[in-house]
Amino acid sequence: MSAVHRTGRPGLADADLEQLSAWLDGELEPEQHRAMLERLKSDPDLRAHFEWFNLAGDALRSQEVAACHQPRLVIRVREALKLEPVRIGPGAASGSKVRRHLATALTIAAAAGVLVVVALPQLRSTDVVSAPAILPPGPPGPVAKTGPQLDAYFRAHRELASTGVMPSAMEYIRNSGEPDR
Amino acid sequence: MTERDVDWELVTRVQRGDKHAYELLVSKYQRRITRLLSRIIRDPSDIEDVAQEAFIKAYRALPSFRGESAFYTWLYRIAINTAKNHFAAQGRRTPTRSSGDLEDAENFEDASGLRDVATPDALLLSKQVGEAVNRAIERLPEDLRTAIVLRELEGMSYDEIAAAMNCPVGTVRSRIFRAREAVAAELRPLLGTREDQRW
Repeated sequence: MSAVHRTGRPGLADADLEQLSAWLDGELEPEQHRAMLERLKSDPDLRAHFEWFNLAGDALRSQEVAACHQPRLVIRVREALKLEPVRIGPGAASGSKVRRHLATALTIAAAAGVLVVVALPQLRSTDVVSAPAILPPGPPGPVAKTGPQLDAYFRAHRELASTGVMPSAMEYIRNSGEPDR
Repeated sequence: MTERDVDWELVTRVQRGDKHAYELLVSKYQRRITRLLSRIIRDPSDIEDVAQEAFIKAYRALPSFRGESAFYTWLYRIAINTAKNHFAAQGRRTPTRSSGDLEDAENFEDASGLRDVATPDALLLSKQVGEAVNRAIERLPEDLRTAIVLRELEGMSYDEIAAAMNCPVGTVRSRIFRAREAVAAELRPLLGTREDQRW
């Protein structure tokens, strides 16, 4: 008996089938993995072994599942698929899991970048709530109301919410409680 | 790369327009889906119809599948929903098998939690499959048996099996392949049909 063609199928060496078996388990290098997928497309003998190896796995895990072997179903689905238009999805843009994760990571990084650029200066400026000196000259803004109660309130508020991002709105907040005169 | 990655690669190929890749997924999961549906639907011809419909629905929905869950988990839910629609189309509120099976099915990763109401033929075939597998496993040399059990039943990677068996990864790969061949050879007389020559 030949060690190479123990399967009795011309063209399929044990090495090919061993590689198929490893592919099923996700144990091939990416390059070999892609090559195996291409071969499975065009080699009916290899596909038949693909099915038998899967069946063996199913049978080992559950005899009931293996007993549900219905070759006709696969034929029927294949025939029905012929009538279906080709479906194009997000996988067309992201060919591999690595690329998918990379895209996710880039999205997160971009969001973090925006956060740093936009929010960080705002966070830093909360310490200088009233900083008219650094504002460029322009039309007169609202004049802040004063009063010991309001000052105490805002002091307490600043202590509690030290990360406020709208210090320049304080004047509006102060005035909003006062009726227009 | 894991088995789930292999499925994902097949999915992305389908999403790029490769129907052959989808046929591999159908071939891989047809028995598990059929088993699931056979525990919900009584009529064998209905089971096959619903299974086919579920696979086609999954194909149509595949562009929106982003891989957050395993492909089989996603397919399983589609099969359950297709079974529900099947009963709704027949004007029945509850499955013919056992009341509540569909609701139960949604709580199980596979069909093992459902009540088994297989036909006598199915029970016989299932018993024969079990005996064939046992025969094949008993005949295997110890090292092949250990390797295939660690892989198929324990879900260990080749690296883990190599460490457990104190042998090179290449040896593990060869042992698993030869064990699979032996089990498949024992099953062929039982489950092989002319229809298997469809490729």
